[in-house]
Amino acid sequence: MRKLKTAYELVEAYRNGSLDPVEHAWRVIEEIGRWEGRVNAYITLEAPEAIIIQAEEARERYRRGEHRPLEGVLVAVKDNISTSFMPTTAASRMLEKYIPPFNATVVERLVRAGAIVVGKTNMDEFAMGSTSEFSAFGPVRNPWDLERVPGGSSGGSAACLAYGGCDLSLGSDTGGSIRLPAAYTATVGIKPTYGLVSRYGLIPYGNSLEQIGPMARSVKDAALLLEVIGGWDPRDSTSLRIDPPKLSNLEPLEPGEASLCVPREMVEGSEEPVAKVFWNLMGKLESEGFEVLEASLPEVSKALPAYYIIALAEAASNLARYDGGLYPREDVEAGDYWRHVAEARARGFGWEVKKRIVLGSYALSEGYRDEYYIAATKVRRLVRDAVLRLARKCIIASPAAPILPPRLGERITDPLLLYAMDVYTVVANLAGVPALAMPAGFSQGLPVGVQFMAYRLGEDLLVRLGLTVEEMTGLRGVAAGEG
Amino acid sequence: MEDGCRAVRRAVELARIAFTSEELERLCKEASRIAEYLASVGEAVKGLDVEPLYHVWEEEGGLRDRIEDRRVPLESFLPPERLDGEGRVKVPWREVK
Repeated sequence: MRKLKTAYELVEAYRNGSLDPVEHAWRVIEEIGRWEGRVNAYITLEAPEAIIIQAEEARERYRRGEHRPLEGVLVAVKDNISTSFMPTTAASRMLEKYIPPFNATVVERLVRAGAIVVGKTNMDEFAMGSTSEFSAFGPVRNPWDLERVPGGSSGGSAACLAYGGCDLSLGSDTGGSIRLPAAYTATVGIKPTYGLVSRYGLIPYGNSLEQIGPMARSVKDAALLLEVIGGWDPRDSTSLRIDPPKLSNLEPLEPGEASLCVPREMVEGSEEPVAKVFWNLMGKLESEGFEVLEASLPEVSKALPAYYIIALAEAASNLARYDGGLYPREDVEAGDYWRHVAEARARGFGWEVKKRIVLGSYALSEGYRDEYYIAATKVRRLVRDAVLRLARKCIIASPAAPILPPRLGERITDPLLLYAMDVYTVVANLAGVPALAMPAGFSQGLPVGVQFMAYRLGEDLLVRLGLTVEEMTGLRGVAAGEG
Repeated sequence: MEDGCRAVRRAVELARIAFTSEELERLCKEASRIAEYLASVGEAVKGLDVEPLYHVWEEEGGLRDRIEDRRVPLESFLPPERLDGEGRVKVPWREVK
């Protein structure tokens, strides 16, 4: 299996002079050239000359001993995170020419840490999807099997990591959009505690659910990136008033320090190959001395519909701003105001986004609000309280997804089948707790991911467990393609 | 969705999106099926005395007490002819001829 240097190893190599940032940047540019035509992970790519100039500056800083935590590390950013130096389209025709006049806080923090932004990654339009097929710029393909999807909505951020087209990436996770792609591409993704990472500059989909989070080829890399982007931001009123987390120098978790529990409702519906890899990993953890307990979370049986109602309702409200005025479209003639708005939205949005806006409007409309939206927020309380009760006692483990990566087109024809892919991941978003997805193994040559959830702000525990699991599986730094 | 397509058409009006009649037909089918599935949440809380939860950390959510003053300079995204030189923006259709 091909293995690539992790970001942490790169920084070490730059520091001790065994690798030149410029040489590495060229290598990544070559990988992008080799894969991108088939994978379509990027919507916008930085010019190679601009990447090299920044890599040369990084080389100078290492020479002078003035390097910062991510100096010379190549980072890809999901295209719903605002950048003033590159277009930010959210994979939508509605924003195809939009260049934000400001950077998201996470981007500012990346740049301040010395990272080089290589490009903006492909995704489901406005992050609405689980396969990265609903993009106005074409679907993303999974580098492990080009006939299959990489998961979504942060599929581009995962796919470019999986083929070596970047060292680290940023995704956003509203109901599993970091963890599903991580699971399907043998990469690592963390959905942070709600409020740990600033959402300032994130094009919103479901405000009360979503977080920007790190994606990487190793747990330590994801921890390093989360350390850089995390912490209070006065520009985001939902951000928690805490210092950036200290995560990058933690030790692996030892047996006896924490136990794991597996809610049967979060495994039972899994395909046989997924369940087999998952239980195999649990068995390994047990044989190493970890306590793995069976648990029950009956409340999660209604988590999926509750999640979708809340997400769609928030989406309908958030996307009301796209009226053809603030973000104008040249192909819609001026005239009657309401007709202009309806036409601009019809042409700018893709089918899935339009459908979700209509459903969200429906769930919030007079006569249906109590039956849908209010009921969903009540279920959310039940789910959150149940998850917090269990997470106080143990780390909650489950497969990250119930099925192996589907083939392109296999799931998008049936919306309910598509939504079911998020059944294990939405729980963490409803509860606001952190969740880590990482490789558990392979089945039929395809990656299978495991998910761990902890109590709020328990990212340190997740990282430590992740380091332990990584040692067991040996899947640190794996990449698709021939070695 | 009890009243099927009529409710979808009402939601389409609220959503301010134009659909062709073929699209509307497809939307009715898909949306009705999804709405029927989503309505199952009601069963889970029927007869239970539960308060809605709008923010996961309800005890810590709230408005910020300090607003950061970080302005984007107008000249960074507007052409010079749209600026009046005193920090204000010229609105073309309001210009006095």
